[in-house]
Amino acid sequence: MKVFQYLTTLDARDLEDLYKDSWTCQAIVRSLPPRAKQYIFKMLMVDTYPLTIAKDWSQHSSNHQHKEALKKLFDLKIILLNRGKQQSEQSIQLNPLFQENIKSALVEFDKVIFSNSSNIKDTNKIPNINDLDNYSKKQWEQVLYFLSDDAAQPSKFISDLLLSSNLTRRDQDGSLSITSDGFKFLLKDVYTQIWTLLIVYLNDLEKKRREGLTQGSRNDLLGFLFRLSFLQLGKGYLVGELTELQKEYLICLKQFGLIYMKSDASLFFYPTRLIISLTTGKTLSLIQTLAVDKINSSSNSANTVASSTIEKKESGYIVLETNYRLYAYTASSLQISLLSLFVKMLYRLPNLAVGIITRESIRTALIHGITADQIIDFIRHNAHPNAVNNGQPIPDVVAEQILLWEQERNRITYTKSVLYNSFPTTDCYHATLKFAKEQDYYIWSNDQLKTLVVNENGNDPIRNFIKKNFA
Amino acid sequence: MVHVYKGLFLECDPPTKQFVEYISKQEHFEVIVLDETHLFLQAADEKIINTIQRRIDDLQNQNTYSVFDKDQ
Repeated sequence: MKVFQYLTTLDARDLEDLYKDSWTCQAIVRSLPPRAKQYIFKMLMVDTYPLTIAKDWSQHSSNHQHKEALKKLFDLKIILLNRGKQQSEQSIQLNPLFQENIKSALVEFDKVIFSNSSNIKDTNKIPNINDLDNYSKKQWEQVLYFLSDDAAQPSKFISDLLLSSNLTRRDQDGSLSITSDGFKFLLKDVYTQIWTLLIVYLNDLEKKRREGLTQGSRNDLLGFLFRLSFLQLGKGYLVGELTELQKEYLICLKQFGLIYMKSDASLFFYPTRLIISLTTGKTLSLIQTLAVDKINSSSNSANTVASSTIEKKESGYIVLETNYRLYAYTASSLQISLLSLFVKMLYRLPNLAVGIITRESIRTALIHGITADQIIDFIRHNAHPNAVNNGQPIPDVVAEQILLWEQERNRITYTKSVLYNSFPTTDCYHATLKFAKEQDYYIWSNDQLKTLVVNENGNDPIRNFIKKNFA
Repeated sequence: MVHVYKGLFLECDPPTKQFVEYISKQEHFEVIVLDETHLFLQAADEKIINTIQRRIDDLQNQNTYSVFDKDQ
């Protein structure tokens, strides 16, 4: 689940609370699709807008996107609907708090989030952007390791989080093992993974707050996250300027690799690329952009050769052939253990692992609840550059076969339902059929057999309908 | 008078439908045939679905030949 879906699940009061913060409002505007953004700015300087005029914002052909954009804004409670007595009197308006914050954000250029003009200098070595990228990558991989490798020992914070998110479960002997949700989680992109865990963290925090165990609240942390996403990569910010609560969050975020701090007692913290792109949703191609950035930054550095070998690994490592053989150019045990979820690994060389995709290996993955689409997407996202350049990161024949293997497991679909037959008259049958269709209970019918199948909810209403009209 | 049956409405391909009909006697459940691709399992629950899934799975395993899974 992504953050804006998450926001829509909050109730109006929580959203109002969040919109008090100007940075939150800006972060939300920044991440909305272009059409929704445009609508916000259309309405920014007016108080109310008649709904009938809003219908003209879009051409008939793009009505669908229009409705989608409006729905998104309604869901986020950014646009509020004023119901009039008549259809023509209905009007819409921006959430006043939100409107005020965006307006003021437009005129105040020099607002600072956390000032860094102080005279205190960081005594530790100042990390450069590469260090930060490597650090966040390492931290995040470590979190994934806890999942894929039973022997790894996570910190209490991480292991609690993984437990309450149902990605791992505690066995009888007290050790942690991965669940099928955990398997699915591993194949997702970094952005989704981080949000999944953050949302669990947010919910835990809210629960603890209700029980009075902590001062922190969900809204507080969300606001803090949005604020952090406006920071500049490669700059240090003073820990001392944060509130006590924010310092607490900082220590947690550090374990995800969202924040870099030399030690828990450091004076400065550095945002990493993960947190900055967190709300813009661009982490999806994080690995790829890392590689591109590295090419740009390392073009005039002496160790181009060394960094270009890293790039190759980071920009994808899987070569899949039409004979179902899979070559993974990697030395990382994490990547290999990920692959072994759905590939039968044959042998491993220092920088290469070879495996084969078989019916059995895919079936094991499917039984764990991984879907064929997830597998195919995973291979596609991590395909070796040479495979991508050939235009086929995953051969059609293999992709099709994986889909077929999935389909053969789902040969039947079923619904709980109720069947009616032996209707006394054709009229009775047709009347009941019409009623079922109108009330949306209808599943299947056959006129010759005079048989009608409706879903479970329809049983009582239809029974009453027949009794009332034909008994 | 109208007859009412509670149960599961099943949708599948014709061969699978035949197979479900075939195993209905062994696994003891009542089937009402609706058409080529639809069946109605009288008074059925998830347990019966699991049984059917398992039987279909077995059938498929019998009909699959794989070099790699057997040799290595």
